[in-house]
Amino acid sequence: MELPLLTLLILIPLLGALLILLVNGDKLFKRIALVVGLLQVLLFGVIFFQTSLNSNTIYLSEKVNWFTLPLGKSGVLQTHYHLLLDGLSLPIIGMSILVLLMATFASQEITNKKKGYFSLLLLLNASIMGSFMAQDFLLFYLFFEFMLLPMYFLIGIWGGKRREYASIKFFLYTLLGSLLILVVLIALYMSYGQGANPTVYSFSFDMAQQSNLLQADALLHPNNVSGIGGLSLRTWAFIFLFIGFGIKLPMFPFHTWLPDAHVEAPTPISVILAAILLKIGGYGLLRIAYPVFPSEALQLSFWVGLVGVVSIVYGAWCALASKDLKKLIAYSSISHMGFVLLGLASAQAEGIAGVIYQMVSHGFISAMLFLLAGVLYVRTHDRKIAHYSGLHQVMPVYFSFVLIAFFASLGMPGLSGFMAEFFVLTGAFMAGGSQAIIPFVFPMLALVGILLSAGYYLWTIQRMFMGTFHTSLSIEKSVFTDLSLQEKMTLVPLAILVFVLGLFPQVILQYINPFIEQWMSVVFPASAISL
Amino acid sequence: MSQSFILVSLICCLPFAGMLMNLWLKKYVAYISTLVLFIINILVFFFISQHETQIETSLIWFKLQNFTIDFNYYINQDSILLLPVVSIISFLVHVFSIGYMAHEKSLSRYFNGLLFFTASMLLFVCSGNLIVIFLAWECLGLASYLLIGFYREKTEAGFASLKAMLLNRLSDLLLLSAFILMFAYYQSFNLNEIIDSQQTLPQLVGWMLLLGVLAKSAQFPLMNWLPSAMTGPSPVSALIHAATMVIAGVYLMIRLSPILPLSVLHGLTTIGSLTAFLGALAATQQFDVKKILAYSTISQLGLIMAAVGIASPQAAILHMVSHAFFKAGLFLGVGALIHYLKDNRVNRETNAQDIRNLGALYKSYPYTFYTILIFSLALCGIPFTSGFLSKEYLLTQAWNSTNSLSIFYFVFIILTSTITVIYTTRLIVYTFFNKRKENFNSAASEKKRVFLFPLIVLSIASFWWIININPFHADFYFFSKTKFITPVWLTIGSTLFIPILFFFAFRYFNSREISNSPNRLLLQGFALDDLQQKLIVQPTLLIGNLLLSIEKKWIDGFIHAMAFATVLFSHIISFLDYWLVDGFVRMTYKASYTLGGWVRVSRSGYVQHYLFWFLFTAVLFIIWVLF
Repeated sequence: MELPLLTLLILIPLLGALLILLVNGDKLFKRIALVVGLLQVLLFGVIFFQTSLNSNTIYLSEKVNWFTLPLGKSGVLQTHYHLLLDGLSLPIIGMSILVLLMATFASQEITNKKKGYFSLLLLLNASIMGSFMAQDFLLFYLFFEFMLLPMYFLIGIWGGKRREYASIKFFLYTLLGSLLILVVLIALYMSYGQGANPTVYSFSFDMAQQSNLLQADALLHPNNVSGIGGLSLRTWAFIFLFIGFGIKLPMFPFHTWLPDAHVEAPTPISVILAAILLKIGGYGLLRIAYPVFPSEALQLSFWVGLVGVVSIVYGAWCALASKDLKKLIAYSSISHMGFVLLGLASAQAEGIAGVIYQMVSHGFISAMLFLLAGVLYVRTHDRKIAHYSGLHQVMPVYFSFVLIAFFASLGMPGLSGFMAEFFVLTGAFMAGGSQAIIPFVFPMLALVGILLSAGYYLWTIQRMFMGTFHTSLSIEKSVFTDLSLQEKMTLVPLAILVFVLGLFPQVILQYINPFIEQWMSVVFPASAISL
Repeated sequence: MSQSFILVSLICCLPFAGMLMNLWLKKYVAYISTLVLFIINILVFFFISQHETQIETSLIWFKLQNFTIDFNYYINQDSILLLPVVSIISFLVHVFSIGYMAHEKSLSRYFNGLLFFTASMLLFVCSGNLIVIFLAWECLGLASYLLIGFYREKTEAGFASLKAMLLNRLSDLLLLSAFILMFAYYQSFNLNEIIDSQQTLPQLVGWMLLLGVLAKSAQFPLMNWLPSAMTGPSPVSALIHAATMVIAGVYLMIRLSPILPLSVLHGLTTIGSLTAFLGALAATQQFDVKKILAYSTISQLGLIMAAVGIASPQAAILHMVSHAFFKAGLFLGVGALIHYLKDNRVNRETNAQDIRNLGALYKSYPYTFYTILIFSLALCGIPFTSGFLSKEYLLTQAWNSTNSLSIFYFVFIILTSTITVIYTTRLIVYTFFNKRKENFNSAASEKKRVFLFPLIVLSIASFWWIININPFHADFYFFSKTKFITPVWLTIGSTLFIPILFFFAFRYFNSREISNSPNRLLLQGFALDDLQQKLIVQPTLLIGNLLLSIEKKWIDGFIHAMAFATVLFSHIISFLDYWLVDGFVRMTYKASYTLGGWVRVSRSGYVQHYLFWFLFTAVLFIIWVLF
């Protein structure tokens, strides 16, 4: 029998969490979590090298029936346990596994209630794996929702001073988004079915392309003329999904949970939040919202692009004004995730490729940024930019890594962030040119965002690192020790990946390209765009 | 894979090998880097001697959907000329740095920066793919950023590098969007294909290109980063901010000139001429030796840029080459002088770069003086120097050109050259002649022999023979022999005019003290710093703060209000629940309790009471039945 590799990816952290609950011993917990992470890396390596890059865009798939629910006269609801690895999930899963391992490794600042911390971390790990692989909407929703629970406690228990406020804000915001998604989920389950007497209703993401499964009398059938407020129900469904996933992304104006959550969360949780959880927003849009409602998405491209561009510029501007290092990075995340929306709005293959690239690249870069912010916080328990200057004198190696991370984030060519934003911009400019899907001014405004990002990063370097060493905190100079071996070990792999993705984009483009080709043919076939 | 493809790749990659070696052998960084540059020079000359300009080979870099992006080289006459200029000057600067940086800490950072810069510049010169060109372009900026801010302890160095990077970023992003639009237009990033298509760029893209190269080539109004970039070490100024990086923008325009629309060419001429004139004017009022040279560079770059605009890329290339040598020489010479003076200061506070503190130094530093003199004469364009020939070529091209703006440009060349003679003479006189100031010990000597080699090589390269055997005819060896006739009156006129002007300027400055009341506007470089600070930086910061407070007040405020309203509502519900719903329940309970209480009174346990109630009820019953 073939090993269910994808299920194992979810099962390993779950078993790890269980094991942590069973054993005792302060040092054991982290070791178990690390072993789990390493096993996942190993497993992913096996999957990575097993997959052949043929015409097939689906690399691995596991599917069994889950449960059925009779729906009275009309039919039966059938759900599936369906996991899948394709050109979209493979790069993101790879990034997540690596970042999760680094975050586990960097958990030295957690000193109390380790048992709870590491078991929650592994629970989070399992639900992340699940949501990036689930192909059945209900299964996806289950994993997606379940992520909230460990995250809520991880911020609420091990966070900073205002942790309760931050965790509740995070929870409620995301819950609001989830509810919007839930509405669409139910509608979709009621719309897609097979056969008659009884009709078997089900919805997995690959069904979006099979319009024959859409029941004629369904609420979300394109022929359904009834609408609310002048918009068709399908448009509303798209808007619900857009906002639901947009909150996760996060997009302006639903972003204010992010800076608070980041500032209060402990370093490894910030890393996971920025690098992985935000990606679920973009992932959901790519996986669900766009394939299911392509024509609605195309109609609303202007608004999607607008929200994206506003997020880019707004986030960058707020970052410029932020006085807390972590807050600055949080706002820069908002700014960079705006590119996801801009790329989607462009409806061009290049733009969509850029979206996936951006999600992977930002995963590594933001992980690095938050780890670096954590390095300083562990030493001084203070993150105010104005409290430091001339740090290059006491922490030269740290400064080198900061330079790499900052320049990667501000879009220096040769580093991964540039490639991603370059693809998105290419898509956006092309969409703005002949086809006029989004106005030409959008990519130009995105450039303003990139310029601002250069502004806030370089200014931060100027303020914190240049000049002669000085700190306005009443602490000894000896506190400012350079990077420890452990910190280097977490940063070096990320830095290498940032370089590799910046110089050799083919490494993941070879997985993204066939996926995009197929995706475009379903979502935006040439005929749809020319309309 | 063709041999020349490998050769060029090797040339571009060797500096990285040097950087790795530097990480490993930290003691010998200076020598390793210099050696690497020496090898690169040999390879470059080997490559040039092959006369192979077409490199067909290209590697697939990556595929993006329907497009394949290649890694390829685009070598033509211009790149063949520029390659040795970059490698030679970089080599000389490395040699110079061995002496100049000898006592600095973090030597490996310095030399790695230089190597990184050299690699990027070489790649930039050769590359034939717009993405790679942009990559190299940004790496140039990064190298410049790191080296301007090399003295990390100095606050002003930090700000100078910040300013340079931000202004460049502004321009670069426009360049990037121009490249992307070019891709959308030509369906390719490949420079070969783009040039071969012979389709003129759309106006908009052309103007974006123009704006995109303004900052890197220090053109008005994005030129003010260059003077402040002088806080970096002098050899860096010589290599990056005089000879090589700053010509990158012009070079890019030269490469793309076949497809530039006419209006953009006019724009180049106008901006270039204006920059040349303004830069020269500002140079006349500076006190800092390096800033004089910086403004001079800006001014010369303007002349070169304008030459591209009148559709004479050859003139631009020629002046670019001659300027690279003598301006690098000037910076190195001045760097050597400052280096010596710093060690000989009487008072530690004296600023050795301020010409008000200098004077009559020619006797103490003869070698430095003579080399600087040669470079200065070349800058002025005195006959028998390379500068004379290249300027003559510029003038001839402007005169012969049919371009409508060429006369305007012609006038500006003459104006700029005149001012150039004035500020150069001012620099020479107040540094080496005029009255002696007692700021420096007289018993000074030029101890560093290692400085001499680059200075002498560069001064040899500042004479007419690098352009033509005939000192009065600027027919460059490497140009294909086209009909090139300089009007005789032009040759005679410039041969006479510039030395005479030089003579009078020399006498004028030598006979009086330096004016201590400069024109403030010119001294500050047309207040561009202030303007950018007030018009762009401060409003940007203000908006940022505003957005943050709006977010706190309105977005978060709205959420808090919602939360408060929800809590309030739930309190009301709970109030209603307690008093209404639960109240009803309690009322029922209370009522039955009370009722029960009343009833209970009847159960007193006395027989007579029961008897009483029984009789009472019976009487009531009888009354009810009867009536």
